[in-house]
Formats: sequence, C-alpha cells, structure tokens
Amino acid sequence: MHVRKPVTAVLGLALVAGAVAGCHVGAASGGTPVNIQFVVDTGPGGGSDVFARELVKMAQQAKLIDDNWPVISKPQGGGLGAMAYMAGRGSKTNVVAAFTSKWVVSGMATGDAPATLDDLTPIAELAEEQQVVAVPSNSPYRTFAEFVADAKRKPGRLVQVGGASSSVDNLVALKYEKDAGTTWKYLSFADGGPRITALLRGDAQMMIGAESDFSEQVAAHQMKIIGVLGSHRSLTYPDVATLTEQGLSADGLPQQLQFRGIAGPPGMSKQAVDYYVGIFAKLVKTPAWAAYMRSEGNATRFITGEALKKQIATFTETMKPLVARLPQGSK
Amino acid sequence: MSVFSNLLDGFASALTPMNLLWVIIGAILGTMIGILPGLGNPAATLAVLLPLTLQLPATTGLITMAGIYHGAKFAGATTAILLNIPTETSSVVLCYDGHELAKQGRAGPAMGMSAISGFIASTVGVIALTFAAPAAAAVAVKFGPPEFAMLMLFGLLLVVTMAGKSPVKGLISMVAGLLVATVGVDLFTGTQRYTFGSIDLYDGIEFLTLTLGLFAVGEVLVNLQRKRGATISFVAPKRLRDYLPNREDFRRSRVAIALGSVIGFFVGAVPGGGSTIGSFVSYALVKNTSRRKHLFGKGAIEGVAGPEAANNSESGGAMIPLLSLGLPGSASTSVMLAALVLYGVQPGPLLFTDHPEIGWPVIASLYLGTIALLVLNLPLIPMWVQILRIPYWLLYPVILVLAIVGAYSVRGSMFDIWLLLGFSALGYVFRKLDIPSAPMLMAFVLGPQAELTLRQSLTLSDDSPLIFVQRPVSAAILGVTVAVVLFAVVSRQRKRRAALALAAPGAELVTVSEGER
Repeated sequence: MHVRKPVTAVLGLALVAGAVAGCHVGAASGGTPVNIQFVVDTGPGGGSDVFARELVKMAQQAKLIDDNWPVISKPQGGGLGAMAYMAGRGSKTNVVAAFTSKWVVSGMATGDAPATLDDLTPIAELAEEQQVVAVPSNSPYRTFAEFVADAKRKPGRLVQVGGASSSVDNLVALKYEKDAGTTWKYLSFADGGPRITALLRGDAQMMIGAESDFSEQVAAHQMKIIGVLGSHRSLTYPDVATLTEQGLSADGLPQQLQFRGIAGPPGMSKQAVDYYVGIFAKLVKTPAWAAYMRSEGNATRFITGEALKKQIATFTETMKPLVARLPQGSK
Repeated sequence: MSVFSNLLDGFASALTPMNLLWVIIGAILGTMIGILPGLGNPAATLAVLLPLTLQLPATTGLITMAGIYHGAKFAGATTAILLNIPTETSSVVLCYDGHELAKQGRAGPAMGMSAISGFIASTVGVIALTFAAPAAAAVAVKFGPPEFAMLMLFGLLLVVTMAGKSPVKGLISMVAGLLVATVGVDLFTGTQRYTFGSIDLYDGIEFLTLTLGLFAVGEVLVNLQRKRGATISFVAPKRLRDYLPNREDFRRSRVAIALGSVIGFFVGAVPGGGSTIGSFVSYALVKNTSRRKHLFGKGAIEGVAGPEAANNSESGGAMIPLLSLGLPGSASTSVMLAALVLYGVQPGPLLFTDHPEIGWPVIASLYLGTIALLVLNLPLIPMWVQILRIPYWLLYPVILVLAIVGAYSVRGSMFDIWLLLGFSALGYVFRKLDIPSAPMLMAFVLGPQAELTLRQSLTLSDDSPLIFVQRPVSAAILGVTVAVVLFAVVSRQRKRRAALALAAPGAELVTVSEGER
C-alpha cells in the first residue's frame, strides 16, 4: 500500500498502539484501571442504570474521570446475575458494579445463589435511599398508624402495591403486620407505572417506596406521604412523622433500609480499591452530587473499608429473620 | 385551548434547523442500527445511542431520540417484511402478511403501506393527544388487572384463530410459547420455574433469542436444502411509483388504518399497554371484521396497514400517562424518561407545567420523527427491496452472524447463544411439521402479562372470578370476546353445512373448507 499521508499513518498506528496498550493494562490486575465497565442489575432506564449513568456523568463533569464508563446490564434475578458476573471477574480491576441493599436480600432469599455480596470486594457506600409510605391524596388515612389500625379492623382486606415479594417494602410490611397481629395483601407489579395507577384507581390503598417514586405525584396533589421509615424525618417532607413517632416500633428493622454503593470483583487489589475510593470521595463532595441527592430524596452516606463491611454484615443479620417470614416458595 | 397553543409552541421550538437536522440524523441512525437483526428493538437502540444524545442540549437530544425511536420501529417493520425476522415484539404480526406479500413480489407496497399507515396513525395520535388527552387519561386509569386479563384472554384466543390452516397446530405452537414464557423467577412468590438452578434463566428467556432462533436461523436452516443462488423471485419495477401501494391497496386499507389508529392510541394510553398488544389486537380486529378474511396470512395488505397504524399511533397514546401521571407507557418511553433524569429534569405529572420547553417539543418531535422517516424512506424503498436480491449463499451467513451477535448482545451472555441454537432447531422442526411459529412468539409475548394480570385480579377479589364481570370495562371486553368466539363458531357451522349440502358424500370438501379458514 502506498501511503500518501505519512502523518495520518503515524497517527493511525499510534491509535492502534494506544488501544492495544489500553487493553493490556485493563486486563492486568495492577496499575491504574482503564476501559472501566460499570455493571448494573437493571435494564436501561431502571433505577441502578440511571444511578450509574448519573455517576459517570457527574464524574466526567467534575473532571474526576476523562473517559466514558460503559454501563453493562446484568438484570437476572434482582442482583443475582450481576453478582455472579462480578464474581467471575476474578481479580480484574477495570470492572465495578453499582450494588444496592436488595442484593443482600436476593442472595439470602435464594438458597443456592451462585454468588452473594460477601463474595465481592465492597468499595464504597454512596447513598441511603429513604423509604416513605404513600397513599392517594383522597385516602382517608392521615398516618401509617391509621392504615395499620384499619387493617386490624378488616384483616386481609387492604392492599399494598409493590414489586417482587422479596423486596424490602414487603419485608418491612410483613414485620408491621406481625407486630399488629393482622395482615394485608401485597399486589405485585413488575414496573412502577402500573403500581401508581393501581393506587390512583383504588385497587390498592398503600405503597412503600423511595421518595423519588412519588415526589412528582405528591407535587401534583395526586398522592400524599403518610409516614417515613428510619430514624429521622425526610428533608423534603419535614411535617411527616416517622413511623416510630407514630407509635410503631422500628425494632427488628435495619438502620438503613435501602442503600447504594460500589463493589469490585472478589480479588480486586487494594491499590485499585483506593483508586476508586479516591474518585468517589471527591465526587460526593461536589455540588452536583448534593443537588442529585436532594432531588432524589436520598442522603449521602460515604462509607468505605472495614466500616462498610461491618455495615453490610449488620444489615444481613437484621434482614435474616425478615426474609425467613416470606412464604416457603420464595426460598 | 391551551394544549393546542402549547403544542404549537412545541413545534416552533422543535422546528429549528439544528433540531430538524438531528431528527433526521436520529432517524437514519435508528434505521441503520434497527435493520441489523438482533440489535433492532427501539428501547435497546435508544439505550445504545444514549451516550451520544446526552452530548446534545436537552431538547435537541430528546428530539434525536424521537428520530432514533421511529427509525428503529420502521427498521423492525422492514426486517419483518423483507426477511421474516421480527426484531421487535410489535412487528411480529407483520410477518403474517408482510412477508407473504414480499414473497409474492410486493415487498415495496408492503413497506410503503407500513410507512404511510404509520404516518397517518401518528397524525391521528398527535391530534387525539391534543384534543382527547383528558378523556383518554380518565379511561386509561380505569384499566386495571381484571381489564388487562380479559384483554389478554381475548388476545390469546385470537392467536389460535390466526394460526392459519390447522387450529391444532396453532394450539401446539401457542402452548409452546406459553411454556417458554413461564421460565424464570415468579414475581409473586419468588419461586424458580424451569430454571434448573441456572442463573442464566432467572430472568426468563429473551424475546430476541427466541425470535432470532425461530425465525431467522430457523428460516436459514430450512432453506439450506434449496439450490444455491436462489432468491425470492420478484420483478424489479423501474419507477418508484410502482414500488408504492396502489389505489386498490389504499381502498382496502382505509378501515384497517382507522381501526389501528384508534386501538393503538388507547392501548398506548394505558400504562403497561405498549405497541405490541396494540398492533396485535389491531390485526385480530381488522381480520375479524374484514370481508376478505380468507386472504389474511396469505398477503393481505390490510394485515400490514392495521398493525402498523396501531404501532405508530401508540406513541401519541403513550404520551398520555406521561402527561397526566408522569408514568412511562412502554419500554421506549422509559428510556426517554431516563434521559430526562440525566438532563436534570424530573419526569412527572408536572413535567409539562414546570418544563414546557422540554415536554411539548418532545411531543412535536415524535411527530416530526414520523415525517422525517416517511420522507427519507419512501424514496429508499427500492433500495431496501434490493436486499431480497442478495443470493442466499451470501445473505444467510450474514444473517447467521448477525443473529448470534444479536442474541449475545442483549445480555452479554454466552448461554443465550446456546438457547438460540436450541430455538433454531425448534424453528426447523416446526417448519418441517408445518407448525406456524408466530403463535408461539405471540403467546410468549402475551403469556406473562396474561398470567400476571389474572393472578393480580384474583388477589384483589380473594380468588373470586366474579371480578371479571363485576367491573364494567372488563365485562365489556369479555362480552366482545364471547361474541367473537360465537361468531366464529356459527360461521364455521354454516360453512360446514353449506359444504355438506353442496357435496353430500364429500368428506374431502369439508376438510378443504376447514383448511381454507
């Protein structure tokens, strides 16, 4: 081949060389990770997918990373697929996963899970997603306590709407049902849209979810918040009492019900973990991050190292008896 | 009429040269990616191109996504018609008549009709959105589990009636589809069904894996026995006009387009509805109300016009839950909503009041997307049709590679390639035994929804089936279903009697008349 433009040829060669070198370092277990991939447990547009894309976007804008981290979806079994995939990455340094506390529950609810969060290398917890109780705006219930009282009058009649039976909102409900000595139904929908419409239609009376699941409907006066889970009130809805304040004991529930963090493959080197911790430590201090947390109704919880391992272990222990209450088929 | 003036404002801001350029780029990109069997479904195409669109300003980015979305949809119709490979769920029905038309050398009119009916339906969708949004929203919210369950029952019954020559073979195919659809972890109880403990089966089987195996690879395997160098025989007309549908085609398709537009719009307006159910119900209704019923499945142009109309007016309808409740109606709107979040706009019922500068141009651009596609694609149809001239020895290896890449790329799983192999073998066996594949695919799509809504209904009613007749909308759908079944039975009896009267000892004639159904 006759090369007419030597500059182009040299540039091309340099590009190829760069790409090859990049692959090499990316595959090795030491050095600064390149060609980083971001594994999530939801499809495009799902919670973790959007979370991961937001992280990458904010990190790029804050100049903490200069390349794009492609988001890879491993949606099987609410985290099971993503955990198995991560466990199979050995000691790779250029793949991280956005985990949620749901992964712990999925691992427990499935007796023979191929991999659990314990098998991976936790890098950092980033955020706590506060859970709230929502009802349609024309609902007679002003507090969650009133809902529970009504459920005691007509056991098995009221309907809570949600996702899979092993999800946290159902586990929490099972605890409060047992405390009150009553039951209500749990109606499963795969997506968020039909859940909200079931409430607006009157097929269901109550839903437990993240603030961002309802914030827009609340602003439009279609829904209202009647209780907040956890030890502190919500920043967005400071007038709404926590369930503890409403006289319902939070004993047996973990401090943080839903949290999001980053984990690496089982054998990720200390050096690589430090690299990612460095990026995220800076990220959670940016104004963009603070604004994102506020808009989602989430709180920043930056926890790393041994403290994070302990937090996950405590959460696992607290959830065990709750998972045990699920019907037999779930295990 | 504030909606109207808002929409005009939307058009005004969508119609900048910059935005127009991007909607065209989006439509081209969407068509190009969508045309590859395996990468073709609109939601996946949007997700792949998300990083690109996020580099643009919010409105322009969303407009580009609208172009991509429509491009991918059109591409789905193209592969279904030309190659008998539905790359997205809503184009499965196009294989019935669209590919038959292609085999008869009428691929051009089929594609032209798909583009034109899509355009007309989008127009209907946007107009209906402008003037009927509040009324449609009120009806859509009423559509709960019992109503959906009855709609699915209706749909599944029609799967059998659509199966072609032998209802029994249609039933076999449908049951196979229902069975495959149950694989995975049950949402209600978390029970594993037919996963054999394999993590790869936890989320069930991917639509694309099944469809590529049954249709794409299955077709290749069967045709391997043909002579080398053979192609679908068709005469290439010289003028563009001869590639497009003729007056007779339009006359036949009028009712189908109208029916499809209305159905697509309403089904789209129901959260969880989506264009698949819309296109499917539309095909079934068009067929069952047609006087040329016997031609369906053998290349009836109405069978392309109806479902494609529904497929496109759905985008107008899907905006209604977005407008009134802030909820996505389909997978593709979910991706667009995710993009909104990344642009820093929280989607919700207040989206259009708080951010009119984003909401309305998006609706306008969805419409512009269909126009861009029509303008781009009608002149290009002769080029697309040339795909049919590619000799099999060249086309089939390409399809095989694309099918394998496609099956892998959905979840990045090697396991799915093995599944693809299995379904390919099944597709081959089905063809050899003359069992239609489409009912299996339709049952696979409708089955999970049917099961879920049935169980949801029974949870609500404490296991009493009376819930289906107590709620007016669900009772009405059940009524229509019963009427259609009775009509089919009665007309069948009448035909049988007529055939018996014609030829008293003619048992063979009876079977023929049944076969023609």
